[in-house]
Amino acid sequence: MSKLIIQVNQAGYGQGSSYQALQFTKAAIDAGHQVVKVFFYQDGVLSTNHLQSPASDEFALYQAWRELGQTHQVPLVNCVSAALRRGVLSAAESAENQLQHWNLEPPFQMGGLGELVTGIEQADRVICF
Amino acid sequence: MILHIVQYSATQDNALATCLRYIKPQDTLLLLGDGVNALLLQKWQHALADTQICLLEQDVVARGLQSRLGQYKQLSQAEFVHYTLTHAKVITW
Repeated sequence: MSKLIIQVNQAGYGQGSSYQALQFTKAAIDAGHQVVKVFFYQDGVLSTNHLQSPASDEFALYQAWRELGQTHQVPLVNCVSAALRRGVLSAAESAENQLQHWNLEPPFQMGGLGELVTGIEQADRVICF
Repeated sequence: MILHIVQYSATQDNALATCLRYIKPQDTLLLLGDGVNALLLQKWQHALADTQICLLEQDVVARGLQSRLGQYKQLSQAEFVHYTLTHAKVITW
């Protein structure tokens, strides 16, 4: 069993990367490997916006990530500064910025690049999409 | 031995061109997503003639290119995961 970190750098819509990363993560878990965390960076954080509401007959990428995280206990971590500048805020950041709304809900969480770096120390491979 | 991943079209992004400047003969190039389209063009077929190439099967099928790209090795998702571990490093361009 190997330890993997998955990094998602592109938006879920317009680019296929977030979907590719999701499929890879599922395949890695199915093969018995441990996905230490999925790190959303740059435009990748847009996949974590709770307010995404695709049509009901369409594949829902956000839900798929959420279910994967919950089912397999995989931490889904946003780079906080990438998220803030793209308008993805948790309740805590919303309060800090005196805003009345937020759009990041568990199991997604905020983290820093430091978390990615410490994760890389423990992981066998980092796969970027 | 490095696994190089290119996921964007070679005509819209310079990921493939940049990758080819650094790839070594023992490395493997994996084309994903619109990256597979490069092999439809003679220019890239020639440029990649001496490179070990594989494609993600689901992306070839999604584009209806099985008959055009049938001569190249195609990986399932499970084989993709296996490749990331049998190569010493993985670089996404």
